[in-house]
This record gives sequence, structure tokens and C-alpha cells, in this order.
Amino acid sequence: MTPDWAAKPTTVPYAKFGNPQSLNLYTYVLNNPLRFVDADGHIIDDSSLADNKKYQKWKKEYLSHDAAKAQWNALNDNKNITVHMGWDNKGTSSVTGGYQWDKSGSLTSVNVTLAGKTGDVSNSMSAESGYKHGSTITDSALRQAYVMAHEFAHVEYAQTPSGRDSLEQSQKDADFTSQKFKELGMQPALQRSDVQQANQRLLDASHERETGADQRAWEVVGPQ
Amino acid sequence: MRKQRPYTLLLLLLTMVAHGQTGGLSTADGKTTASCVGSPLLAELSKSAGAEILKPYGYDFHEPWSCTKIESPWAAGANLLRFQKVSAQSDEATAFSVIKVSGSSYIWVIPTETGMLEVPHVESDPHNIAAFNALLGTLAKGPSSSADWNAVGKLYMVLLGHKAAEPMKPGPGSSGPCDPDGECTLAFADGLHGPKEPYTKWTLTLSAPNRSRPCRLVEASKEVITPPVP
Repeated sequence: MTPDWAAKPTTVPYAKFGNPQSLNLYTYVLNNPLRFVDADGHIIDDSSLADNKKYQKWKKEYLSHDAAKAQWNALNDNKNITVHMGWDNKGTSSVTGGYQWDKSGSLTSVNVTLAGKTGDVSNSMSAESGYKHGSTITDSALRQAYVMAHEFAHVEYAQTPSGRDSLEQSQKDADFTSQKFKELGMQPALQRSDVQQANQRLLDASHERETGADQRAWEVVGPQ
Repeated sequence: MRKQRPYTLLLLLLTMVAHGQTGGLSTADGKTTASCVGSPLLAELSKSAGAEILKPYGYDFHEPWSCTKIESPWAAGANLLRFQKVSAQSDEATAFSVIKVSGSSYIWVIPTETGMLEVPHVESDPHNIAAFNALLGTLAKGPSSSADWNAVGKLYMVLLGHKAAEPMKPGPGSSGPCDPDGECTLAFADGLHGPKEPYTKWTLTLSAPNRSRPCRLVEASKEVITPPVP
């Protein structure tokens, strides 16, 4: 099977043979090619999002900002990347993950899952956790736009060589500390200097990424 | 004179710690240190009985956590620990604090963040206020100076994950945070904003009708303040 943009036969990057739905070429228009026109879009809404009023509202709020349209289009028009959008109605964390890079180091696939609670300003964000601008938003529509811009900022970061290096290092550190905690338990694991160092690297990298995504999201949806 | 020097230095150091001038990670009024490894409270939590205490909150010590110890002259004799989930996942800031006051076997667990959100009403949750009052109840006497009050308020902020919080100056003409009835109002800013940027303001109201007795936290609230555009 060949994607529609390919000049010569290649594999479909998002095809998973365990999930036949991933081979459905109409999922990029939410399984309804007559309702949407997106001949070559690379941000793919999960098919369940077509009738998800909350998600559609978030997207509308987000796309009401000019810089957000530019951010969306840059990802949607990038033929090398597939962004899989998902929705978690009860989640407390909108998450960007499942990064895949090709051998040349280019990002090819990423999953963005938006969590419903993160778009409600009655749920505060902490400036100290890296959400300096997000913590001061008092309007839910703006918060929803901010969260989408924030997650897409993570995708943009993963497209950079330093972002890829940092994310890959964090994954190695997380795998290492995870293994040690499972093997040894918390207190003995924390007594090891290599675990302490890996933990600190993870915390520092995470804070840097969230601070960066917060700043970028504010550039996209904040007051111009 | 020479014999007095170490004591003078010690006194100076203690004064600096009490007034938040130690720099680095320390916030003095709720100083966090890198290591909690030797803490008896960590050892207790690591045992099966401790795991049972954390289980209802969904915290599992077989997953990676970082742990810091909170030290404060206003929590002498108590064990205060702060845990933060360690993960490669984005937007994962799950964290909680644990308090065990001297002379009690009870362990207070204060969830502060989950995912990318603060726990709802973390500042005003009666459980969190009760935990802090249990801590204040062990003090021989209450705060007296403005610096003392700020240190007490700051400790609450640190327990809730806001170690960068900065005390805000009381209004002009105010002689201190307390009125004649012993109601004391403290305000903190999140400490990370620029002078013209919005920020979260925290207001803590403490009761101290009798200075010879420990004070207690009555209520706490927070709001986003947007400075007026000039």
C-alpha cells in the first residue's frame, strides 16, 4: 500500500497490520470524505473524534488564533509526519508521546492525546511545574486553545535534533530508573547515585520541555 | 573571644536559615534538600504498611519517584517529605507531600499535583489545613515577627509545591500581618512572574489570639491577578 503523496511506492508510515483501521485512508477525514476536505492532511483525528463535541470545540477555539492556524498547517502539511489525535475525557494530563523518528532523525509519527479536564480553568495549573502562562489563564476557551498549542509545541520540539536527543535520553533514563525501582524498591533505588542522577536529568529535562512548550503556546494563543 | 566564634557562626547560620538567606535550593521557611534517603519516614513508607497508606491515592513506590526532604525551624521534630513522579512522559507533574509530626503515628498525605493539573482546591482543602495545623500544634509558641509569619506561610506554600512563592508586602500603614484580634493575613505571589505579568496570589489567614500559644491556619485561597495595563 502506498500513501497518496508518494512519487514511488513506499510503505504507509502509520499502517499497523494488527489494526486494520489504520489502513483506512479515509480516517484523515474522520471516515467521512464527503464532510471534510483535507486531501493531504497529516494531522489525523481519531475517528471517534468526529462527533466529539468537546474536541471539536477545542479545535475551533484553537484555530480561531492566526498563529495557531499557522502551527496547525505546518504540521498538517508536513508529509513526513503523521500526528494522531486522541481524546481522554477524564484524564488530568494532555500527553504528547509515542514519538517515532526515521533513520535520518526526522520525526515521522507522534500521538497527541487531549485530556478533557485540562481545558477547564476550574482545574488550576502550577507555574512552578512549568505552566507559567497556562496557570494565569482564567477563560476556559483560551485554556483549551493553550493546551492544544502546548501539545503541538511538544511535537515541534521533537522535530529538532536537540529535542530528539533530549527525548531519547529521557526515555533511556526513565527505563533505567523504572527497572531499578522494580528490582530494588524505592529506598534502595534512591540510594544509588546513578538513579539519583537519572532522576535529576529527567526532572530537569521535563521542566525545560514544559517551560518551553508553555512559552511557545503563549506565543501561539496569547495576546498578540 | 576565639571560643565564641563558632557559636556566633552557628547563630548566624541559624538566623540565615530562619530568614531565607541560604540560597540555592533552600527556601529556609521550607527548605528542600536533595536527599531524603536517610529519612525514617521514607523507611516507614517503603514498608508494606506505608504502601497501604499510599495505595488509596494511587501512589506506587515500585514506579520511579524523586524525593526531597523539607526542613524548617517551624517544623522542628516533624518529618516532611515531598515526592514527585519521575517519567519521560510529557505533562506529568504528579506530586505529593507527606507529614508526620513528632509524638504521633499518624501520617498525613497531601496530594498536590496530578498530571498537568493541581489537585482541585489544594490550598483550601480542610484535610490539608488540618495537616498543617497538626504541624503548627507541635510548636512551643507562635510566630512573633513579620519574618516569622512569612516563614510559617511559606512552609505551607512549600508543602503544596510552591517553593518559589514570595511573600507580598503588606499594604501601606500596616504594622504587620496581624490585627488586634489576632487574625493574621499573609499574601504570596507565585514568584515566577515579571512585574507586569499576571500571577497567582495566595492569601492565608491564620489565627493567633495568644502569642504564647501556637497559631493555626484558618483558611487559604488563591486567585489570578492581572496587573492593569498602563
